Amino acid sequence: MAEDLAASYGKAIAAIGLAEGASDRLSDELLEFARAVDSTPQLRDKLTDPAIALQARSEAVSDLLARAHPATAAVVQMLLSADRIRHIGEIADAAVRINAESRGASVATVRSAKPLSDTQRDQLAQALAAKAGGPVEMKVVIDPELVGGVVVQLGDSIIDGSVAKRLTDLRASLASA
Amino acid sequence: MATPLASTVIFLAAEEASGTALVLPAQAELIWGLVAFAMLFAVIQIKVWPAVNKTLEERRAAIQGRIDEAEAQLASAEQTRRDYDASLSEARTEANQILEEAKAQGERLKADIVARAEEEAASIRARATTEAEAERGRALQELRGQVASISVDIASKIVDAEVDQSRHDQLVDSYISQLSNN
Repeated sequence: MAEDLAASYGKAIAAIGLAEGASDRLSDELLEFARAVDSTPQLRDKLTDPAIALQARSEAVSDLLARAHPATAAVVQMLLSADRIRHIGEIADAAVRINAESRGASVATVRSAKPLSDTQRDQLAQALAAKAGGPVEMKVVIDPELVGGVVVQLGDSIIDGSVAKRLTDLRASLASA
Repeated sequence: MATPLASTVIFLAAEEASGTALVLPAQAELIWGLVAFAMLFAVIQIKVWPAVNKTLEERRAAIQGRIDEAEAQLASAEQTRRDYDASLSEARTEANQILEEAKAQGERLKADIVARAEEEAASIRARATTEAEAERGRALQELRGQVASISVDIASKIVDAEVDQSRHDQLVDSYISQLSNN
């Protein structure tokens, strides 16, 4: 998907969030849903399979987002109808970034194996702000695949402190030994 | 020639007194006879003899010409035979030379074929060795990968069980600390 197309969708979604007065919730929920789609091949295949009727896929999305903000469900339904679900990750990232930029902040996507405490969130936000040289908005996503630790994406850089990364490094090291 | 004949006539005349006079013709007849003989002899000597001589000479020349021609033909035939012998000899020499060259070429060809075959065999051997080495390397690498994968799978299971919320918090705190220091 072209980057400018993701940015266009991101702008539209940010505008919807702003209009609905639920920018943060919309972007958080969209990001969480996008991560769930990207990390669950079965879900992604089901939502993108043209052999499955759009109505059935739409109902599945409605079920999954039953407790989400109506604007979030509407945005996902729109992406489903436009056959853009496979790019929902890029679109969610763009929406979150545009939201944050409208407030003069950068976005840091934090994937954590387990929930972070409030203290950890504050300390991490401070550390990332110092690194970015400005305010940073953190979007925390729980990702059990990481086993332990966190992975932070700040702009184009990824700082991986996960156990999964250490295991991958160990695998590569053993394989090349 | 006239001189011995005249002596004979004189002798016969001298012998007339004896019995020979009965056998010999009369003297006048004898003289006329001698004159006629001399005239005939002169005619033959002047007219006939040169013509006969000329004919004989021509015949001799013709025979000599044929002999010369035959000799020339013989010489020519001899020359032809010598030429043929020379050609035959040259042809034999050439044939031998061709045979030698063919043999030499055959030997060279044989050597080339053997050299090429040996070269190809060496190449096949080298390629087989390289492929065997590569295959061995691949197998070893695959084995290493499998061992690594199994080891890491086991380690993942152990780590997964070991990493609880407390351990996770330690990892996050350590991560934040490193991030702040960098």
